Amino acid sequence: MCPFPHVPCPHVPLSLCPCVPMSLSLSLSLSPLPTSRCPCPYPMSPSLSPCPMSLSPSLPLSLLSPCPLSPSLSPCPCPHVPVPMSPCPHVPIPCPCPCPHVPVPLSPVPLSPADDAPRFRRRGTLSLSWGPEPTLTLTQKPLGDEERARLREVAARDGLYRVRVPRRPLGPGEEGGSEFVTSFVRACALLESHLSDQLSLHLDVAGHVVALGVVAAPGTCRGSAVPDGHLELFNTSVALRQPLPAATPETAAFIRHLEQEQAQRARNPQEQKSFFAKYWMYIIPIVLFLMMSGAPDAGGAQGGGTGGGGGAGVR
Amino acid sequence: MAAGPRTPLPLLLPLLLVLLPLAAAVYEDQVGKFDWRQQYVGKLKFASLEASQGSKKLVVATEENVVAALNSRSGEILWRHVDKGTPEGAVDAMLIHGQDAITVSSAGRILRSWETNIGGLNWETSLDTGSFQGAALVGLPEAVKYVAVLKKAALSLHYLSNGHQKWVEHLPESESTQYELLYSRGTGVIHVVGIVPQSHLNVLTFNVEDGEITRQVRVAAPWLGELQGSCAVVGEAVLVCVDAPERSLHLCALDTEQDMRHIPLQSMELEFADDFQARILATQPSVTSASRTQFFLQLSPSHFSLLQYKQGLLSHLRDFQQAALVSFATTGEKTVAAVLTCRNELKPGSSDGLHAGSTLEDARRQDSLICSNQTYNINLYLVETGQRLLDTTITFSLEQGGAKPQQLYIQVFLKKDDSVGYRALVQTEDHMLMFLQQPGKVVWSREESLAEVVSLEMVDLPLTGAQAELEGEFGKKADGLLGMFLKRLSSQLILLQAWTAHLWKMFYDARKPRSQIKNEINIDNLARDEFNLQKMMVMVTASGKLFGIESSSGTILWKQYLRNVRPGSSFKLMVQRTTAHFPHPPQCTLLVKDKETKMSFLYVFNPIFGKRSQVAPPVLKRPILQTLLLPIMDQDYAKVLLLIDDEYKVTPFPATKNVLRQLEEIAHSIYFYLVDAEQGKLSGFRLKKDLSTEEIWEVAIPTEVQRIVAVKGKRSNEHVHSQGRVMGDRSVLYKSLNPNLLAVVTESTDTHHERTFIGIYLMDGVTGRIIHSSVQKKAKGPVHMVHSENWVVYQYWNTKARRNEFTVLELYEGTEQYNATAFSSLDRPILPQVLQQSYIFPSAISAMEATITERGITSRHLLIGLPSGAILSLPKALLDPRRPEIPTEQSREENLIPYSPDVQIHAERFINYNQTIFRMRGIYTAPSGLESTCLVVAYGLDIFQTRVCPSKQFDVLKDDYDYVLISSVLFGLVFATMITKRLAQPSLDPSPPGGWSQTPLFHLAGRYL
Repeated sequence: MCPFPHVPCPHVPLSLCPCVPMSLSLSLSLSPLPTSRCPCPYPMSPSLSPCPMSLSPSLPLSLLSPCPLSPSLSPCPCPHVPVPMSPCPHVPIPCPCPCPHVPVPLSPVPLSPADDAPRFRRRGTLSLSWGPEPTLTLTQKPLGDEERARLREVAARDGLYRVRVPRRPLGPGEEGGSEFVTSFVRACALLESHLSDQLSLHLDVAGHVVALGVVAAPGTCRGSAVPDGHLELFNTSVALRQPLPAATPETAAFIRHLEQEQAQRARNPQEQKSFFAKYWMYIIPIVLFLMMSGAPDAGGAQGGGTGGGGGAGVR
Repeated sequence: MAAGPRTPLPLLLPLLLVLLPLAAAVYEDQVGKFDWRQQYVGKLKFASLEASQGSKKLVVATEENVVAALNSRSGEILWRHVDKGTPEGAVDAMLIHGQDAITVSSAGRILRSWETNIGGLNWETSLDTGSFQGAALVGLPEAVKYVAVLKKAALSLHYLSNGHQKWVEHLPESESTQYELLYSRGTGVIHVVGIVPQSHLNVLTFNVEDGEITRQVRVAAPWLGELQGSCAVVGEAVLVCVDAPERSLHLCALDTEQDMRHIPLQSMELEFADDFQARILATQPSVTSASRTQFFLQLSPSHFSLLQYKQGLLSHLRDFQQAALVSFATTGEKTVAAVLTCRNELKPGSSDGLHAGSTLEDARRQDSLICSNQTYNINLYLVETGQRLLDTTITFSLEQGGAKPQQLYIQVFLKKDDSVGYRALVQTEDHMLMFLQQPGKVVWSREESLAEVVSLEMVDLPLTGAQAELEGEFGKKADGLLGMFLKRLSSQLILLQAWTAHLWKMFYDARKPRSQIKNEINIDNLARDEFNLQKMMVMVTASGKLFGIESSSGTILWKQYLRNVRPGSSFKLMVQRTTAHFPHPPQCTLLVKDKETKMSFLYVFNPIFGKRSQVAPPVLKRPILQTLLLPIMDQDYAKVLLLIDDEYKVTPFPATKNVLRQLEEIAHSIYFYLVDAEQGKLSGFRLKKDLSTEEIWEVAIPTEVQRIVAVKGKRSNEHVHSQGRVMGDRSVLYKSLNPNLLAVVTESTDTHHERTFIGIYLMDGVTGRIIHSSVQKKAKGPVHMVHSENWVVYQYWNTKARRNEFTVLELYEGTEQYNATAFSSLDRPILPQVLQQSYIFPSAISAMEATITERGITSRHLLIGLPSGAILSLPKALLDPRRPEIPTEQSREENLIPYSPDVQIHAERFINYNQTIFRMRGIYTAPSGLESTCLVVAYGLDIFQTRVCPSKQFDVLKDDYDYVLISSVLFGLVFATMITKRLAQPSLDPSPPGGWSQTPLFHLAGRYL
């Protein structure tokens, strides 16, 4: 059932574990994460075909699980491959092999002390699934005690809370990346919004990651105290934004509109009558009235000129 | 009126209402009243001066691809033809034959002949492709009949009378040989010399009549690297080449000889400068006869020698030390050499041949001529003998610290007493043309660098002395009540005096006819007018010359040449202090960035007087990436300029303690962005207290798909008067007015017409958040964009429909404002609504800008420069995404024009009526003191200044306002009231109680009215 049987799925080193080790992403240590072991908590689903029929809107549920693909079945971490000349021109998405799951690790939390470069820690994983309706899902872990303390500390200093994602979606087992798109929000705003924020991932026409946006809602800093209990789980909404098609001149609609009007006019010949032809019955009485009333008015003005206060009668 | 909504009248009514204010055209007597145009030709490439005293024109071809004739008496343009601005239009050669000018343009593709008296085109022929090498007139013994064009692989001969091709001949061995030199001397043959570098020369001789190669010789010349410059033809077709390393000349008669003769120059005591490619300059007065046997040998940038090769003998005629330029000119039988030297008071002997040892040392030491006092002499020498002609010195001075002369053209004529008279055309490094007459009078000068304006700012003029006096009173601290009072009295007295003087002048002028009144504007009487309509235009040109131009008349009040600016540099002009802070002079800062080294420097000057400021700008050691003009000021009211270098370090200017303290306080709220178009990266930075920066956001636009072509923010001096738009249902649609909004335009790397697209990103420059992104499919650039208030208008080429289109984007917050009191980019969680609409525009665009007014009340117009040279003033209301497709009651209430997909060009909307502006590159708008009026400057090859009133002149009386009528009516009424009052009094006396007494009077007055 693969839609493109002749297209080989992009190469991915099979030896690597495709899944993100959940336990490791929780750790706050700054040391590089070990990738040799694969403590994958989810069962592999070996029955999946290399090119799942993800064009259909109903995705197998297991695909959306954080660790769905068996390493032996060559998953398709492909959305970053720009293929403008897609073998299937009717497929609007650039990837010939639409892969429903690409982990995009969110490596956030700089919470950097004032002096040095920000140190990012993993906050969660953004999964981008291609299809007719590309969707973005986020899995993230709760804020740890140490992180919470640092967030408070940075917020007190009016520091920034930064978020970044790698520019290229990571293949399974890859960690980090070298190029990122970064965004920030004021740490106090995030704190006072009780960790509710909105993430938006912007893609370009070919599906490359262009930018990440983060907004805390509400975004104000009033200095109100927030209890620890409200600072455990992120209340995050994610949005995927792709460029909208820009407007084009609406010639067709305009011409249709003109034609309609013309047709209506043809059907309704009365409409074409001139102003006078239509309103003569109103105009003539008015003119007559003006002519009638004009003559005595002139007479009255003359009378007023000679007769001093006599003009008071004319209004 | 209840006849139904389907009548066409209400449909048209809003349209008519909108069109009504557009009927503002210029009356015939208003032409040139508010506007002026200056036309330029650009830097000279070729020039020809006729050799007769009575001639009135100079024919020039320029680097701006212009062929023109200038009036030699006044410097005005007699006629001008402007070709394409691209390299396709470049003029490669210009030859003058009698009254005709022959030009070769488009890389040797087109041959044209112009009639030089009126500028008409005689004929035009297209030539075969092939890289152009040279062109020459070909003479037969009796007449000049043909023009020969030399291409890489072919030589063609055309008739001068009609341009038809007589013959075309293939050149042998054209793959390896570069044919560069064409020579004929009326003997019926054409010599073509080609070179194989470091190997040999190929000399071909063609028969003029049939194009047959009559002779083909290979001359060994292993020492020769290039032909142009180092070789020339003298006398009876003798090729002379200079070999600087060997310090010798090589000669070869093209007609007869097969080898080059070697003549060492050591015996003539000619010193060659090291690392200088020696050049030979010869002259051929007429193509029907042989060249002169005399020629110049340039030994170093400032050392020339006049040599002669006659009858096999080489002789040295004269040596010219410290000469900047040399030129030959011929009239009748006489050929003279003109030499431009530096006039040096200390060593006057340098030009008369007696040179002391020290002069020689100097000449060797300095690379090119440095003339400390900027005074130059031009002298004529008879070429046969090298003798100086008496009374032929022209002495002229250039501005101190200014540019050096670069080109010299001489017009020689015989006076009645048979002596030689001449005029000289000198072009300097800053593209100034000077036409000089004996003994040193500048007949006219033209500032041709103004053909390449790159940056422009308008600065308010200073207050008059009296106004300044009044202002100064408030600036100082009080010195006692009495002192203040006396001061006030004295300043008011001065004001009274100025006013009476003004009245007197008005009275005096009123008696004179209008044409005689000339308001001479010079730098001393510069003062702001009451409506601030007159401003100082500070223009930066590509040659590195700055100009101060008074805006109402176009008079150049000051100019300043920056010597260390290399061509291709980019400029940014900023106004750090306006004229509003009286005792402190206004201050402009120019940032110049070199194209190659990327190094920058600052030039600080007073925009009113053009003087370099006393303030020392910081020395910039690293390339500057971005500048930021902050609203904070130092104690001298100069705005703080932040310069961000490539290590993301920030240099403030001025860097006083006060400024640094202020910066430290507000550092956390200073953000800036950088754009790296090559890597497709936009990044945002925040200033830290120690003036270092930290990167806070990063956006990557992948370069493999699209590249950034333009990033545009809003103008900082823009005011928006209304926060929203009242809709038909009386609710308010609030505008999204984000001052930090950036519009980023990208173009796709794929240029196939089906796949090409234009991307538009609207992003916040502080947070890096993308507010809106859209893709215009099947579109390509060049994109012109205006970003203002809450809207962006951009224009592009639709590759599918093959037409130009506009798209307008408008941003609204909706019917409720998120935070009406203060704006912060950091606290804008709700994305604005984006409305968009597109229109077809029937023309391409060369520049676009929006009008701007003092308070932003006046409606906005777009000023669109068309390639035809017109400026179209298009109401923004026509580019409004809320234009309804089907008009409703509410849209009519709002005065929205029903949507129509095309925007038409109406000639009455041209603000420059018939004053076309060629090759418009930009339009600059500035507010004036009147809310209704906006000042407009369009620049390109020409400069045009005018005023526009988008909503008509609602705040001033018209020019033809009838003051006499209105005042006589007014006085009449006053008198009538007085008389009737008197008349009414007795008849009402004795009156009823007081309240009634006034009533009849009102009635009477009403009747008189």
